[in-house]
Amino acid sequence: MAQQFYADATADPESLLPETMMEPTALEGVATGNYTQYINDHTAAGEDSTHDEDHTNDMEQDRQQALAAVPEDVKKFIVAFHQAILASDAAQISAMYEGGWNRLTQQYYSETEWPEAELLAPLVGGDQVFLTLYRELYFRHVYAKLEPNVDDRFQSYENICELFNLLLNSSEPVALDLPIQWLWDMLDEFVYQFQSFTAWRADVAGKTEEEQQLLADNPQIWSCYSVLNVLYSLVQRSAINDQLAAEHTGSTPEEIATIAGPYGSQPLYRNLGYFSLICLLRVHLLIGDPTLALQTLSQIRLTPDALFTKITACHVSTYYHLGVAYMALGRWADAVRAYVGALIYFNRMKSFHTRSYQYGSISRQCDRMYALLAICTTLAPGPVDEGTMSAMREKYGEQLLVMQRGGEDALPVYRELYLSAAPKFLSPIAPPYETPDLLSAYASSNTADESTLDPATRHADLFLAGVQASLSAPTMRSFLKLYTSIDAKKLASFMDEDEDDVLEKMMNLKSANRTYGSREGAGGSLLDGERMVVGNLDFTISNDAVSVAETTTNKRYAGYFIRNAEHAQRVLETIRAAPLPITRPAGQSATGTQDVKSGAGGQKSGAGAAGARGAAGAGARAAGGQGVKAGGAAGGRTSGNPWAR
Amino acid sequence: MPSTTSVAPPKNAQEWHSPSFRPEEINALILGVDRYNPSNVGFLEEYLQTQIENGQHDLFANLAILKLHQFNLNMTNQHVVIDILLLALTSAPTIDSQDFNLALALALDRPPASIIQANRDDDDDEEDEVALVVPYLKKCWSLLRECRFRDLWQCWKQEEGEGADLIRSHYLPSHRHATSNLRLLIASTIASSFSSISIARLQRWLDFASAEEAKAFVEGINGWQVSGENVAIEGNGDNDVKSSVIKEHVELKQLSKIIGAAAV
Repeated sequence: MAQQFYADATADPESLLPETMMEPTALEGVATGNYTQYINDHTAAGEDSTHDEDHTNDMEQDRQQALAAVPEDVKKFIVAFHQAILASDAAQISAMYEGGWNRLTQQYYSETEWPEAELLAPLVGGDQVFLTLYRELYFRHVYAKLEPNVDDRFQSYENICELFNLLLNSSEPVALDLPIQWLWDMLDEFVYQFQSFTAWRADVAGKTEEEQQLLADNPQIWSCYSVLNVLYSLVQRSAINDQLAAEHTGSTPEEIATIAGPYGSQPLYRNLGYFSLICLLRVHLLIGDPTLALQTLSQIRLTPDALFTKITACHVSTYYHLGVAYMALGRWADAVRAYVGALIYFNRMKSFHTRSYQYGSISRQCDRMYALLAICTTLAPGPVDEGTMSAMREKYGEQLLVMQRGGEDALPVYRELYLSAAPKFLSPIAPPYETPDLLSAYASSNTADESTLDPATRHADLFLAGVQASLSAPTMRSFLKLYTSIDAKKLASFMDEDEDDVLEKMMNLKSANRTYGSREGAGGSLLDGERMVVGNLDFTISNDAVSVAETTTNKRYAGYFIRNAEHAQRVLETIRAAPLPITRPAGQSATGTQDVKSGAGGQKSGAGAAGARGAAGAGARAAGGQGVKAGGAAGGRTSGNPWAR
Repeated sequence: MPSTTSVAPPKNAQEWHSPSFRPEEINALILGVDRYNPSNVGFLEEYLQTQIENGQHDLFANLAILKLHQFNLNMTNQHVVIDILLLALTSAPTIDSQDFNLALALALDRPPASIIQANRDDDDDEEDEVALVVPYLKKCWSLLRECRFRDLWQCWKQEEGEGADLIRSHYLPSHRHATSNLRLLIASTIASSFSSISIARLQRWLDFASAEEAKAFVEGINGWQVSGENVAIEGNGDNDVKSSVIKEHVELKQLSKIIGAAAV
């Protein structure tokens, strides 16, 4: 397919430019053609068959009957949803997308599919954009709650491509505005379905003949090229990289709008472009290219106000994948920072999210981050947020102990943790469905040959090969901890080893003690890094004399005092803003002696604390009557008092 | 070897991800979507040969070749794959750099040998050389990473087996800089730990036949000096560490709220 894809591109170098190269229509034309044809050939009721009048009428009737069977609530919801989208009513769309849809799913469709889009077409006047959006939700529900079959997988691909085609190949920007949560979910789901399809396709044994035939006929469905094609096209269309670059250099909004062009200046395109970058990070990582993954995010700054932090699922997913990419580069400190940041954020946010339908998957992703954090902090010990560390120890304390001891016993633990916590790596290479002879050879070639290992095992093996070299570091470290200086010969005799061996192990410890990491707030590419020390034990060797240098960190007090002083300040402000206890005039309340007294106090003393309290009370919201008057008077007299402000 | 060679681990990752010798066209190619265009593979492979000739290493450009192979099975060229792996093994910036692993992750993402054979255009009965040499290169990498330099040289020069033979007979002759780059890599690892080292030890770890050869090597390196039986290595941030105490620094910014409240 790739060859076809580039056939004319090679002739004309200009056409290699993304817009032309990433021309989904060309691809889709082939895809849909083949597939629809196949469906029509193999199923009795081809949906678009128009050759048979009666048949069409029958189908029309069937549809009407089916539509009548759709619950009234659902129909109303669809009509209102359509209206909200037409009117670009952001609040309404959000409410329906996040609330209504899920509520109706629970009520009517917890075990079945939502109604087919074709059935609902009359309700929305056949609005194709809406129906495509609807189908996207429809398939997302199938993937999440039900078991997608081969048709679902193929159709969801065609639908999402159709949607992106509508957006990308229109003569002018499509006037559509969707909540960022939806846009993120849409792209996230797109990558998820690609991942799910690729894993499903790799399992040759479980395929029926029909499925094999379909896969053989449609190699482009969910192919890596077409997925990257969609994501890169969105990036290009929105000019998101140029926009972000301009933002970083401080261009004015007008300048950015010019750079963005008619498409990129629309929130819909800009946000899709931005989230596509995040999705590219994930796709590149999954197919085994962490450097390219990091390179893709070159224009995204990991600041607390970046767009990706606005959506919990996106925030957590970005840092999770970023951390995994850094781990593949051996940049433990950067990985730790990514995980810790996301975990602190999640722990703060979780009380708001427990009811969200995504909560489960986000929280599972966080568990994986704790596991990877255990690996990283073992390989690169250093100061890490205490709260996060203790939560991690609670979950993975046992494994942590074994890993920290080091040696060969630690290896299986590393492997187990990594396999359970790493993403599901993929191979873009499909089994040879188009050549049945090779297919049987492929299915039976499950030997120890490295090329036939599944991607997860292959990546775990590579990762462990990287870890293996540092297994002796913990032992060496604990030996050195005991000395400030020691002769290498002596150390060798303690360890019962040759002097050269010991010195080699020392160099090994040295390299385990160094990593490249980005400085906080340095900006620039995510690949930038400076050489830095991990852990607090270091050494130098002069001939045979080893001198150990330990870095000790003073206990940190300032943060504690700053936090508490600010806390005290907030408490004080709360107290000041709170109304006084209600004071009632003597005549109205027989039991209000206490109130009367304080009210009177305010009147009499005038200045000082009582008066000030009266003023604060009046400013906030006091309960009428004499209290207010007294307070107002007192406030007037004590206007110089800071408390009265 | 020019006398300006300095060996110490690089201070930052700049040269690693964007080496200064990378031509502008290659840079534009690998940063854009053109990197997916199979017709560019020849261009990148030419650049790979330049790297091999000059003893340079541009991992990112080479990963772009492997990516094209991964996406276009019929393009896979095992000589190119082995060239890339060998370069990543011998010319990484530091021994703990994951260059070799990163290249291997892409290089091993390929269908079983039987299927590659069937896909290949030419019908000569070539052996699957990648499968042969990978175990050998992995062994070398692991010895290098564990700093078992004496074992590494042993393995480099005398390991038996088809993979090792293949590397020595077919690849090392064109990789003229492989052995000397490996030596420099080890030297920079030594420089990271030692401020002074005996010539005898250096000779063992760098695989020199005689102390004279070792001395000649030392003289070619900036900041290394022979003094008697030892070599003094100048400080590079790694071999001159001192005990220290990290004190807490409080930025004015952190105090802004408190000061603000007090100023009212």
